[in-house]
Formats: sequence, structure tokens, C-alpha cells
Amino acid sequence: MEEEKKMIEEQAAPVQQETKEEGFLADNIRVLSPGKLVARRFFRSRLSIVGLVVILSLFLISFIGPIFSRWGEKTQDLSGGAAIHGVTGFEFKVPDSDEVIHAYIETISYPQLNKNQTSPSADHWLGTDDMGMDIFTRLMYGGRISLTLGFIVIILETIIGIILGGLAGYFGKWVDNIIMRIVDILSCIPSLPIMLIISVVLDSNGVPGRYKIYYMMVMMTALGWSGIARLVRGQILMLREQEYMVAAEACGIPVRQQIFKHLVPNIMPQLIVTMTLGLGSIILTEATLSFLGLGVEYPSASWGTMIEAGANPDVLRSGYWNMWIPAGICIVLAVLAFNFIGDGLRDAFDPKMKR
Amino acid sequence: MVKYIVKRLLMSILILFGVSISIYFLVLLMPTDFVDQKFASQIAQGTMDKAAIQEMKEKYALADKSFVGILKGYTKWLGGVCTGDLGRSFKYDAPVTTVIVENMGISFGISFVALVLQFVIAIPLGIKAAYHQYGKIDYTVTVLTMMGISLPTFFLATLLIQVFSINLGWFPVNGLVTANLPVDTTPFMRFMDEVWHLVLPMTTLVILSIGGLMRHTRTNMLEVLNADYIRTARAKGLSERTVVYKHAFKNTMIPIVTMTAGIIPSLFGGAMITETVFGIPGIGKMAYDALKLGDVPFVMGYNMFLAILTVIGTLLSDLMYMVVDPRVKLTK
Amino acid sequence: MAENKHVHRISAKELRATAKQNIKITKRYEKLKKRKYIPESEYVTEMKDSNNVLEIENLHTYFFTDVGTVKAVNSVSFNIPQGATVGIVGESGCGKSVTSLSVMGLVQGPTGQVVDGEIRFKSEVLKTDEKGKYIPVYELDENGEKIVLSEKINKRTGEKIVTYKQKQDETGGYIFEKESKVYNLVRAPRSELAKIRGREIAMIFQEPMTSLNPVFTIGQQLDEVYLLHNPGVSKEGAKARTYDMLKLVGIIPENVYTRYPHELSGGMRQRVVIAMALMCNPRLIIGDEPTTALDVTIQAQILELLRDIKTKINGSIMLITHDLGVIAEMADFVVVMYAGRVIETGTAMEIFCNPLHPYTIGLQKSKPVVNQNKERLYSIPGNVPNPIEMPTHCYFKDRCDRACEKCSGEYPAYVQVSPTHTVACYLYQDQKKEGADV
Repeated sequence: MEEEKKMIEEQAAPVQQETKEEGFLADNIRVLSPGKLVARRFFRSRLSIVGLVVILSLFLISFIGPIFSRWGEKTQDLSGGAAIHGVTGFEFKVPDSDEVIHAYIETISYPQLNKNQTSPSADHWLGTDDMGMDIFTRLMYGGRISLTLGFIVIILETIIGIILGGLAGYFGKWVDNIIMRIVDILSCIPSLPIMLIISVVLDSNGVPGRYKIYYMMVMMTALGWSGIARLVRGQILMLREQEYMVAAEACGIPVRQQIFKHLVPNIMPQLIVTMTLGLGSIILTEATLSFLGLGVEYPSASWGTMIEAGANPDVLRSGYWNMWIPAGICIVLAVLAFNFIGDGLRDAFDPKMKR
Repeated sequence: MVKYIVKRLLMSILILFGVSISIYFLVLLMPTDFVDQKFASQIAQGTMDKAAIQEMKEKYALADKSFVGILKGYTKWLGGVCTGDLGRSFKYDAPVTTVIVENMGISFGISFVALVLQFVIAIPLGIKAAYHQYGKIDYTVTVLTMMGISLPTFFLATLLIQVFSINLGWFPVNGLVTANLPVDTTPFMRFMDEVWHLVLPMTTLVILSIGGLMRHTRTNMLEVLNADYIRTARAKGLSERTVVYKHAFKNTMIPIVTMTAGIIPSLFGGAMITETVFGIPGIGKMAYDALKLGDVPFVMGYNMFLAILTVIGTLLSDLMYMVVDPRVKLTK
Repeated sequence: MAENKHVHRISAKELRATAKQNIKITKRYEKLKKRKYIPESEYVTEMKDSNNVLEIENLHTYFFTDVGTVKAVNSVSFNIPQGATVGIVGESGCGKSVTSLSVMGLVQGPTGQVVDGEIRFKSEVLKTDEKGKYIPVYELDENGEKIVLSEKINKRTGEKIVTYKQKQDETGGYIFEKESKVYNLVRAPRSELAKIRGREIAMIFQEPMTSLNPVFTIGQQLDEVYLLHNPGVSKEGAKARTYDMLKLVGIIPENVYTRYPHELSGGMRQRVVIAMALMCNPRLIIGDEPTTALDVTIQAQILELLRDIKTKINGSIMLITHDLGVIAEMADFVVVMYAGRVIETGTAMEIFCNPLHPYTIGLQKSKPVVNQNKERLYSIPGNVPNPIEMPTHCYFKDRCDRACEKCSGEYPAYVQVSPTHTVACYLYQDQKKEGADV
């Protein structure tokens, strides 16, 4: 119909036909698909690009790097521990005066277990830790753990969250009530103390240390899905109140069909953003747990445990910063990158942010 | 309004009930002889007798893990909680309530000062960033914010210790009081000494929490600045200052005030990691030490304490919303 | 379809280039606006015709977006005579609102910028002495002497300081000497603009639901305007004025003064917005579709109100609407806009009885008339051209049913059909001699 009308119009107005080469104005409208728009806005922000580059390189280095490394995750190189200077410091107050005396005792020790820290060298790019293990290699192995773990947990959380949140929002009534009360309870449970208890429970039941991190993952998932469930439920409820849903119902299209049709495009942006930002916080939680000795256990490598190795005043005083600072930087980089990407995505998805 | 509050209170009690059941079942997962092991030293010293231990086992259903045993234990424990008895910690050999109340002060002090500082710094910066969206200030604030959010607490704390305590020697490495303080130190000097010890922990808390608030302020402000009524305010002939700091600010403050009300109770709970790394004997560190040992009464007590704080927080922030936002007042 | 070939997708490179360029351009304009000191010679001008309150000449307001520059207002010129109501009509998106926002200096920066042109406004500003202070008007007694309020002797210098009684208006506002100055609002510094906004030019916005601040009471929001522009007014004075204005717009003041906006209905809110615009007896009221969001009965009331008020305060009204009925009811002069340009201007009589431009004719035809029996309502074929890539020829050409070969040439100049009637169309070029600018 439309085309026919146009044809007639075109024939009637020869002038218009002539200028066809220049194109009708309507034809010239610069069209961008929504996906492209999002991608464009995303890549517009320099921070998002930085985040993406950092994450990709962290991934590449962690997963491919160890293949090229001479050292393994737990290989010990004790040659570097020869005659190192350890410095232990004391601090005490002189009685009856304000003076504080700092005394340092310099010790020279010979290769022995626990004293094999070395500074960066050609052999060990970031030196070795006190057990003589190559820090750079361990960083890569730690990265594998942190990044994979983050992805697994967030995906599990999302699946559970979508299912339960979807059920709550879709069925409403008592289903909604029960699920949402569970969500309320979960959000009131303090996560870190609970993790500590679980660690104790695992210990007291004799679960080996290397399995602990998996239990922790399960617990993190169990405590973490509530946020996503809330999001999904909220979206469904909001959709129900939208006027276009009423319009759809008026057209005789079943609400159920509409909800699912509109839900995906409506919720995807938010979900992706929440997931990206969640990834960062999961990596943080994992590192914290490992730091507290509740997650990955030494000698398995994890960024958290590596910092723990450095976080006692003796190591701090000895000046072997290479034992813990690189791991910390890795955590910050990873989390920062995920946050940058998440923020970039949020801005990109939000049409209000259009400039 | 009263009806609403009563409804919320009842709901809160239900939630707390759920929380208590969850934690109780976690504790149940511990082996039966766990308590025996943990109390071995106290029994040897004679500070605790077998009967007390038996009673404890019953209370946490560690002795009898049948359904009846659990039910009996739980009701017993719940009865205690309702009368304010959270049990006796074996790590500190004192009632859990006493341990919590006695150590709460210092934690609250640190968190409160950190909160105030955070507000003083974050809100003006957030507003500036929103006003100059995509400007230099905005980018700086965004990056700083992100840094704050992305830093692991323990890493930042360790870094601060390395730089300011060990390399520069400006602040003590850890603890709350300098060892060997002269006997004649005045209370004021003692106080200053404590403050000196608390500078780094507070800095840690401020740096970590400032980002979130700054971002919150910025997003809110951005939303408000694009509102029609801001255009109306400008059309009235008001100066930019008045537009931003009166008309936009009051709208921005609604969510912030609400959020703050939610934070206040959690100030009492202690900052576990910060206190542990800096060795400050606040409730956070005490809890960490006890939890790591599996101090069952403390575990139950402390977690309930935190849950109560959270519930009060959400309740407060909802009430605050009604107080601050004129639109909410009448509808509820 | 063959047209698909013409669909042009912008490459990423192009986008980045435009984005970069936009930042450069907008920065330049922002900098120009944000200068600390702007000499008066830059923005004080003269009116072309002293009977006018507002003269807009060759106004260009562009929006620099990523996909290209949107010329929202593209060379618009028209005048608003003292005491007249000028209606601006056009489809949505034709630049009506942007024109009004340009007058107020409220175009949303940094994307939107007034690029070129002048908006001249005859302003009654407070006179300042050489120190930059306002010169007070003193009350005189029967003998023509100033009334002494108090005498003080400065202890340090021994000078006698005499305070005279300053004239006050009925609300307690101090009266200062005024002078008439013509400002070019495009170039005027923000501080000067702020003095004019609300006091001399007031705007009624389109959305009554969102244009009041939700956290302040109606009273606070209204008082604020009066207190701001009338130094020395007490709170009671402002409140009295607010009461008067609320009564004027037909609201019982006691009912709404302490209420918050959300407690009022849309019609009430729009009345409040109008009261807010009237607070300082503005000489020009800009109504940006003031009745669009309201239902018909209230619409009529509000229009009636505006007309009443206009005569009461002897102001001018610039009424923006897409509703021809409203225009017919209210306007003395009509400006028809299409795609960012003025295509026809004239008195209401001329536009309605003798529309010349094919677009104006189309507009009128598409208006339903009650006692006419027509099968279908006329609709102008086609769509408004894409604002980013405007053609060089007449913008309406592609939709025009009377387009001729000439129309593919450059944009038609204005043709003066009668002293008050101008139109930009080739159809009338031959009828009259060369048209001058409006």
C-alpha cells in the first residue's frame, strides 16, 4: 500500500524523480542499530577501553603466560636464598623521656626454608617469595584462580537469581512472599563472619584445605544471588505496570507472552552491568577470604594469599615489597577494570546519557 | 504511619528469626566433640566444669542432633536471646554481650569519624563532578572513586603501614596504645596517643568508603540537574549557586540522608579487616579472633548482633525517607 | 526496495571526527560565555523599532550531537511589539521551544549553543552610580525635601551621615532609579541575564507536573522569585504578593501556600507556574505550550487568564503552540515555523484568512472543523526532513504539492505581501517586487 502510494506520487511529481540521485531526505537519515549505538557509546569512553584492555591482557597473561614460564606454580628455587640480609626492627621508649629509639638488628642467614626471598632479577622477574617460588609465575596462577572463580560465581548467581526472581515476579502472591523473605534474610546475614564460621565448620569436619575454596564459592553464590533476584523481580513487576503491557493485553495478546518478550531486552542491560560490577566485587571477596586464610591455601597461588605472605611487619620491614605489592596491584587492576567496563556499559545502555 | 511502622517491625522480627535459624544450622554442622576440644584448656584450669559444657552442647544442639534435640536446643537458645543472654564466650571467658558492649566504643569511634570525614569530602566533590560532567574534575573524581571501590581493604591497610609507619615512621605499626607509656601521662596525652594510633585505620576506612558516596552523590545530582524544575529555577533568575546548592542540593540530599540513616547502626559492628590488620582491639578484631577459633556462643551472638543492626538500619532509612521527602509523607 | 541503497550508516571514523570537532566548537562557545568580565559595549545595543519589546534577528541555535550538527533554529527573525501577543506555530521539532529557550538563555549546554544572531530586549534596569551602587529614589515631603530618617556622625572622619527615607512600594520593596537599556541577550553575561529572567521575561513551561521543585512548598517557590528581584522586601511583603498572584490566577492562596507541588492537580500546578511567572510584573511572558498538558476546559480557563493578565500588566506574550485554535483565540501576530525557519509571518487575520505558504495552508487544512462534512482530514504528505542534513533548497519542497522547478534552487527569500505579511516561497516571488527581510 505504502509503496504503491509512493509510486503514484513519484510519477505525479517528475521533479522529485529527478533529484532521486541525491537521495530522499528520509533515505539519508543516518541509521544506527541499537546494538551499534551501545557499542559506540561504550567505546567512546576512554575508561571503558582501558578496562577492556586491562582485563583482556590479564586473562591472556594468566592463561597463556605460565606455558612460557620456566617456573611452575610451586617450584622452589632455593639458590637465591644465599646470604641474605634480614633486618628486624624494635621500637621502644626511653623511660622518663619522649624519645623513641628504633633499633635494628641485621642478621645474615644462609639458605634455609622460609628465608628464600629475593628481589627481582633476570631469572625471577619479580623475585621469589620466602619459599623460593617465582612470584611472577605465581601471579599468573593466582590470576587463573581469581578470574575463573569470579566468572563461575557470577554466572551461578545470575542463573539462580533469574530463576528465583523470575518466579517471584511472575507468580506473585505467596511464591513472591516466600522468595522475597528469603532474599531479605540473606541480605541481613553478615557475609564475612559467616564465611569465617564456614571455614571453621569445614576445618572441624576435616575437609582438606585445597577443597575449601570450592565450598567457599558455593557459599558466595548462595549468599550472593539475592541482588539479582531482586533486580529481575523488580523488572517484571515494573513491566506489568507499563502502559504498553496494558495496550498489549487490550490487543488480546496474553500477558505472559508479553512479559517474556519484553523482559529480555529490558533486563539485559541492567543484568550485564550488575554482572560486570559483581565480578569485581567477587574477586575482592575471594582475595579477602584468601588473605584471611579461608580461601585458597598456601602453597597454592592466589592473589589474596600472596598479600598475606607479605602482610606481617617483619616482611614489611625487610623491604621485600615484591612479595606482596604486585599481587595487590593485580587485584586492584582486575577490579578496577571490571568497574570501568561496568560503568561504561551502564552509561552506554542508558539512553538518557546520550550526548 | 503507626500501622506501617508496626508492620515493618513485625516483618523485621520475622527476618531476624530467619537469620537466627540459618546461623543455628550452620553451627549445627560442627562435629559433636568440637566444644570439648575447644574447652579443653578451660576444663584443665578448672574454670569450667563438665556440667556447663553439657549445657552448652545442648543449647547449640551439638550433643543431640536429632530433630527433638535441635528443637529443644533452639528454643533454649532463643529464650536466652530474648532475655538478653547471648551465652558465654570461651575465647574471652566472659558473657558475649559484655564482650560486645565493652569493645563497641572504639569501633564506633573510628567508624563515626571516618563517616563524618567521608561526608565532608565526598558530597562537595560529587556535586562538583556532576556539575562539570565530563570535565576534568569529573574524570578525576570518577577515577578516584573507582580506585577507592577497587582497593582491597587489607592491601590498602598494608600499603599504608608500609609507607607511613615503616618507611616514613610517622605512625605506629599497630595497636591502640604505645607500649611503655610513662606512668605520669595525662589522660589527654593518652587520648592523643590513641588518636595518633587511629589515624591510619581511619584513613583506610575513609578512602575505601568515599568512592561509593561520591558516586552516589554524582549520579543523583546528575539526575536532578537535568530535571525540569531546575530549568524553572534558572528561569526565575536565580544564580547558578542558588540553583545548584539550594534547589538541586535539597533533592540530591533525599537519597543520601536516607542512605546515611541506614549506615549508622552498622557503625557499631566494627570494621573487621581494618581492625585486624592494624591490631586495634575493637569489636571487629575481637569477633575475628573468636570466629576464627569457632567460639560457638560468640558466633551466634555476634551474627545476631550484626543482623539486628542491619534490620534497624533498613528500618531507619525507610523512616528517614518519610521524614525527608515530602512526597512520601502522605502516601504512607 | 531501491531506497535501501541510499541508507547511509556513519562509519566510526566519521563519528569520532564529529565528536572531536563538536568538543572543540562547544568549548569555544562555553569559554566565550564563561568569561569573568564582559564589556558592556558587547551586549548593549539599540532597538530597530522602539515599539518592540523583543527583536529576534537572524537567530541560529545549533545542537552539536555525535551524529552531526542539528540546526534547530536556523536564521529566525521576528519582532514582538509592546503589548501584543505573538503566536509561534509549527509542528513539534520545528524549533519553537528552542527559540524561546534561546531568548531565556536556557539552551542546554554544552551541546546546544546560540551560534549567531541577535536577540534584542528592551530592559528596564536599575541605574547604577559610578561606584556600581543602585541609586535610591527618596520619598519627598510636601516641600519637595527628602525626609531625614536618621543622622549619624562618623567618629573617625567627623563626617555627617544622613539617611533619608527611601521610597518603597506597597510590599516594602525599595525603589531605585531605573533606566532603559537594550540588551542583546545572546551576548549578555550570565549575571545580567539572571537579573532579566523572572523579573522582565518570565517563562511558563510546558510540563506543569515536573516544572515545580518537589521539595519546596508552593509558597517558598513563589516568594523566592519576588524576594530575589526586589531588594528590601520583607518575607511578609513577598507573601502578600504571592497571595495576590495566586488569587489572580484563581486559586485560593490559603489552600496552596504551604502545600507541596505533588499535592496539587495538573491544572492547579499550571496556575501556580503562571502565578510564578507573573510575580514581578514581567514585560514579556513566554508561554511554551502552556496548555498542551491540560484538558480542554482548563485550557480555556488558562487562556482566558493569560489574556486578562496581559491587559492588567500591559505586557507582551510570546505564545508557543502547535494548536491553531489557541493561536486564533489569542494571537495578534502569528509566526509560522518549519524545520528551524520562519516561513510565514503576519497578523492573525492574514494568516488565517489568507494563508500563502503551502505549509501554512496545509496546516489549516489539517485542522478539524466542526460543521464541515469531509470524509478524511487532510494530512500533509511526507515527513519533516532530517534535521542533521538539511537541504539547500526549500525545506518543504519534498512535501509540497505546488513545488515547481525553481524550488530546487536556493532557499527562497522573504516576500513582503503586505506591510505585515511576509512569506518565504517562490510562488509569490513574481507577484511582488523583491522581498526584504522581516
